[in-house]
Amino acid sequence: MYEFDWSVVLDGALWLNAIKITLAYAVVTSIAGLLIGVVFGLILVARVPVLRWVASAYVLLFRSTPLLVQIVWFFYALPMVTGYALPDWFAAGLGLTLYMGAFSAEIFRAGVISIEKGQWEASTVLGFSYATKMRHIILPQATRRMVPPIVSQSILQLKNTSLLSVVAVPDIMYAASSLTMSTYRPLEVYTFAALLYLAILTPVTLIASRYELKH
Amino acid sequence: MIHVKGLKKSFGDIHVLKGVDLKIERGDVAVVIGPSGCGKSTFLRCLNLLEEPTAGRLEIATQRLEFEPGGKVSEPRKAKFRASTGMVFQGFNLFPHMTVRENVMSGPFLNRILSRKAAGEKADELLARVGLSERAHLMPNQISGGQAQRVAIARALALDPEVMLFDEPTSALDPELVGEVLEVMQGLAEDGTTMVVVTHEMSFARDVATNVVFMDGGKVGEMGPPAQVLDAPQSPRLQSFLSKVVH
Repeated sequence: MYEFDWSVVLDGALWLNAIKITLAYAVVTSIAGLLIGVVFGLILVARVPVLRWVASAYVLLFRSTPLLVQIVWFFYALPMVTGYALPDWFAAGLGLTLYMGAFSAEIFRAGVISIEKGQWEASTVLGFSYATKMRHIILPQATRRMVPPIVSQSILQLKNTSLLSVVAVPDIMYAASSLTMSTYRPLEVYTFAALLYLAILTPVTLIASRYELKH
Repeated sequence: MIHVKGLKKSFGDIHVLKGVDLKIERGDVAVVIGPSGCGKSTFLRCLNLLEEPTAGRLEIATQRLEFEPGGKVSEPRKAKFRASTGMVFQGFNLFPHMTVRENVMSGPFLNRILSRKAAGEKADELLARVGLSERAHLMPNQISGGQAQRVAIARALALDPEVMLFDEPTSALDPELVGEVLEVMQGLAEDGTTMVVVTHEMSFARDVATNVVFMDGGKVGEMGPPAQVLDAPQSPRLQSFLSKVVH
């Protein structure tokens, strides 16, 4: 019979720092990714010549390769390609940001094209310019539809920060690995790490489903 | 007012309009009837360039356009041409995130033709005209289909179009709501509004139309005053069509 020893996880400073790092990467890469997604999403939706091919290629590339590969590539391979060393903290977040950006662009595009054709036609016969249609008719309706998938992508994003531990970012997962190495107590430590993720995301999930019920 | 000559429209290999010729004078109410697939909706959508014709000539008020296969009319040119028309759709197409009043204001206000205040006052007048002043602050999902279509009519009128186009305006309505929409349309006709109406409402064609246009196979089959077209149809095709339509 295994004897639990939960005292090994009692390292407040270690976890607190790890939680901060995890939250910071999740929030900052999600927001930066969203901004990229809006820009590329607009390019896709408006079918901007040439740029739309760039945007499609970007979305395809980042949606069809594993995030872990992207993180490692930007951390180790990019400096070799460019000959320029980015700060570690920045290189580590680059993959996550671009990954979020690709999914956000798709969510943005899907939200816009989900608006009924009749709304476009009604705006056209009222003589609205493309910008007016987008700003006053299409986007106000589309953004409402984008909220649920963006929330769920952001939840994934927070969990995906655990992959940063492979490039030595001291997040929750990295803290758990190093604590395991010093205590040889993987069961308690990883269980505790899982509970931390759960504790962070449960409220977010609840708020999100509240919102969906309302709309 | 409206002069259509040799108007053709194809979608790939499918030739929907095969040369439509038509003249409509100011103040006329032209009701377009015909079997499904005859091209009557496509014809209407060509009049405001929601579909770009592949050949022919189109004149509305002071504007004139010629079309050729593969020749693309620029968007600004289309928009300018379209400005002389207003359109009412089968499915209303109100903006669901705006109140009834904001819907009616949207044309003049968002196009910066009128200030917010002036556009609002105009919307109030138009809502009174379609009998919906009481509903101004409701959202589109809080009103009936008949009311929604009347709002859509007011929204189109807000831009003072030379011609009003109606694409089966009552086909999506419950039977008991059809009357209120037709009544508003009849009122417009009596006020001298030039209208082109695609509809299956034969009573409207009979009572309100100055011209009935029977479209068949992508062309104008017969055309004339309702008494002539509806009561003394010449072609077997029109006779057969009328015999199948409930009066």
